[in-house]
Amino acid sequence: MANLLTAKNIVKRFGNYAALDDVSIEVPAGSIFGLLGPNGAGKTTLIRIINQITAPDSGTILFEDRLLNPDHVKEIGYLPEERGLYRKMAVGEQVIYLSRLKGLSKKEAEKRVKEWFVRFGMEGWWKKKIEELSKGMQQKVQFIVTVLHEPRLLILDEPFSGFDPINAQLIKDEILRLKKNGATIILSTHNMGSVEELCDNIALINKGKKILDGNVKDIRRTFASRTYDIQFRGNMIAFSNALWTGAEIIEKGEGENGLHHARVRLLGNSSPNVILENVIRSGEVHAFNEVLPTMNDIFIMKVKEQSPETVLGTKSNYTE
Amino acid sequence: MGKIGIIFWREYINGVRNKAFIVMCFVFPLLIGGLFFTTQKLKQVADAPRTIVIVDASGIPDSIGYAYVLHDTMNLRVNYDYVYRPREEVKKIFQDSADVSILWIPENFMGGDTTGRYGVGMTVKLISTKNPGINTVNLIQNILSAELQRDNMRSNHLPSKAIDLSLKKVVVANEVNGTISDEGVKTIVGLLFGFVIYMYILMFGVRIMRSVVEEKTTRIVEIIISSVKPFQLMIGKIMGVTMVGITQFLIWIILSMAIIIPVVNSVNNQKLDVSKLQTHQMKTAVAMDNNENSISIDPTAKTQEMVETLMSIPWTNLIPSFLLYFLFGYLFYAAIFAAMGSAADVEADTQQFSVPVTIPLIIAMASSGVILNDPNGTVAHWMSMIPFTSPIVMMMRIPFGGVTVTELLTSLGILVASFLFMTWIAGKIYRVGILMYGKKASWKELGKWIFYKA
Repeated sequence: MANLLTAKNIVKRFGNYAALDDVSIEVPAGSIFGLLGPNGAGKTTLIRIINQITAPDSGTILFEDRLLNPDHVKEIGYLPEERGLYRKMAVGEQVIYLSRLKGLSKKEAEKRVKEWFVRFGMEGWWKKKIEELSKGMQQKVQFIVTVLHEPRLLILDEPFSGFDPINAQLIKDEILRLKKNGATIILSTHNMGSVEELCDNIALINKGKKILDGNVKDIRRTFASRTYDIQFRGNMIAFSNALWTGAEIIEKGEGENGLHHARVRLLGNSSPNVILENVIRSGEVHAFNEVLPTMNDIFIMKVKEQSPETVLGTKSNYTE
Repeated sequence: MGKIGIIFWREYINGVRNKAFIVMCFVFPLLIGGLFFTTQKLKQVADAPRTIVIVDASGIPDSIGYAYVLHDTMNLRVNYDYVYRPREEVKKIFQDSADVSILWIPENFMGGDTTGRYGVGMTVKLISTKNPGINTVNLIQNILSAELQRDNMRSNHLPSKAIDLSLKKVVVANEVNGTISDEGVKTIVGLLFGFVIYMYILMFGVRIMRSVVEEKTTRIVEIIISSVKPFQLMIGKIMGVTMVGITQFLIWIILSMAIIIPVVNSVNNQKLDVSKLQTHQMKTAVAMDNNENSISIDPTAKTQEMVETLMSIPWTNLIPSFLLYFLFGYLFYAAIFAAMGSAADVEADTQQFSVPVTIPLIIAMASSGVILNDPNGTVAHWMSMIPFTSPIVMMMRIPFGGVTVTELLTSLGILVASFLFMTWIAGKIYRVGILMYGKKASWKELGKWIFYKA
C-alpha cells in the first residue's frame, strides 16, 4: 500500500527544547494511523507541522510523493484537540466560512452543509449561534467543519472527547465510513480502546522521539509475553501440579458451574503444547487462549521504559 | 475572492452586524444632535422675547436720550409709552407679566442728587419679576455706557470729530504670508483633524486586539491557520476592522449632518436677522447724531476674517494628507495592536499591552499646546517625523502652512516604511503568539518570537 503521507527525520526545536527529535512516520493511504504518546510528547507539534501551521527546523514531509505545500491545505481536514468556533456566529454561516477558507465555493459548501446537517439530525440549527449549543452539539459542528471539504487526509486529535457514548459511536461510525470511502485518517488519542478498535498502524512518541511504530496486530504479537488463559473443570491443586515448572499462575479464580480459570505465563522454553498436554491430564479443559497485551499495557510499558517518572502524569488520561 | 478577501468580508459583515456597532451608529449622532438641540433650546429659553418699558424719573431733559438709543432687537421690544409716568404706577400695570422689565432711570441719574440710595448716579435699574438674563442686562448696559461716554465728551465741548476718533477701537489684524489669519480657526481645524485620527486609532485598534484575543481564546485560530497563513489572517482582519471603522465614521458623519444641518441653519438665519437689525439700529443712531463722520462698525468683519482664514488653510494639502496619515497611521498601529492581541492569553491581559501602545498617541495629543503654539518649531518638526506621533502632529501643523513638500514627503515616507516594517514584525509575533496558550507572554518573549523560524 502506497503512503499518503511520509514524514522524514522531522526536527523541531523551541529554543533549547526539542519538541520533535528526528521523528519519521509513514501513513499508508486508506488506513487509520494512531499517533500516540503521553502529554507533551510532541504529537501536537507534529500535527501542526503536517497542517503547515508551523514548519520543521529540518526534515521533510511528503504528501503522496510531492513535498508538502500550501496547495495541500484543501486535501487535509484537521480537528484540533482544543476545539474552537466563533461563539457569536451562526452555525450555518460559520461552517460555510471555514470550508471556504479550505477552498470550497460558497455554493458547494452550502449544498454539502445541508447534507451533513441532515445526516447528523441538525436541520434546525442553521441560524443558531454556537454559544446556544451544548458542548456535544458544538463538537458535531466542529466535526462537520473538519470533513466538509472531503479531504483525503483527516487529522483527528482526540475526536471522541466531549461526546456521550451514543454520539461517540456516531463519530466512530463516521470515521469508518470515511475510511471506506478512501480517506486516510491520523488519529491522535489517549483512548487505547479506540486505538485497538480502529487503528491499522500506530506510532508512539515520547519526549520528542518515536519509540515504537508499526501495525497494531504485529505490535501486540511482538509484545506477547507467552501468557494464556485456561478454563477447566477439576481440581486447582492438581492443575497447579500439572503445570510443574513449565508455567506459573499469574491469577486464578473459580467461575460458575464449577469451572476454574487461571492465567498462566510460560516459563523457560516450555511450549504451549506441552502445557496443554499436561493440564488435560489434570482435568477437563474448556478453553485455552493466548492473551495478547493491550495497547494500554504496551503504551505504559514503553513509556515507563524510557522515562519512569512521566507515567504517573499520564495515567489520568486513560480515563478519557 | 482570495482567502484574505474571505477573511476581510467575514470581519466586516460581523463587525457591522454587531449590536454594539448598530447601537453606536445611532447613539453618537443622537448625542451630537441632542447636544446641539439642547444648547439651542437653552439659548431660546434664556433669550425669550422681553419688553423693556422705559420710565425716566431723572427730570434731566437730556437723560431720555440715553434710553432712546435702545431699539427693538431680536429678543427685546422697547416700549416708550410710559416714559414720564411714576415708577410705582407702571409697576402696577405690568406686575403680572413676567416678560416685561421696567428700565427705571432714577432721579439722581446724572449725579445731581447725592442723597439718593444709588449715590452719585449713573445707575439705572432694571425691574423684573423674572430674571431677564445676563445678555439683556449686558446689552442695555453697553448701549447706555457708550451713549453716556459720547454725551459726556459732547457736554465738555469736545469736537464731534474728536469724539468719534476717541471711541475707535484697535484691532490687531494678523497677516501671515499675505493673508489675514485667525489662529483660533486654524487651531480648531488642526486639533479636529488630529483628534479624529487619535480617536479612530484608539477605538478600532483596540477592537482589532480584542478580535485577535477572541480567536485565540476560543481556539478557532488553530483551525483557521491550518487553512490560511497567519499573515493572511492578520491582514484580512486588520482590513476588515478598518473598513468597519470607516463605515461607522461615514454613518456618523452623514447622520450627524442630517441632524445638525437643520439646527445650524435655523441658528444662522436668526443670526442674520440680528446683524440686520443691528446695522439698521446703528444707522438710526447715526442719523439721530446727525454726524457725517460717525463711527461705522462692520459686524461682518469678524465673519469675513474667519472665512478668509478658512480659505487660507491649505485644504488641497490638508485633505489628501489627512486621508494618507489616517490610513497609514491607523494601519501602523493596527499591526501593533494585532501583535499585542496575539501575545495575550485572556482578554484581561490586553490591558498590559495596550497601555504602552497608546502612550505615544496620548503624548501626541498632550503636546498639542506646544505644537499649535509653534507649528514649525523643532518639537513639532520631530514629532511629525516619528511614525508613532506623526499622523496626529502633522494634522495639527498643516493648517498653519509652512510644512514644506520635502518635509511632508519625508514624514509620509517614514510612516509608510514603518507601517510595512511593523506589519512584518507584527506578523512574526502574531504567528507565534496565537499558538501560545496558557501563559501571558513577557516583552522579552515577544522579542524572541520575532526571530523564531516559522
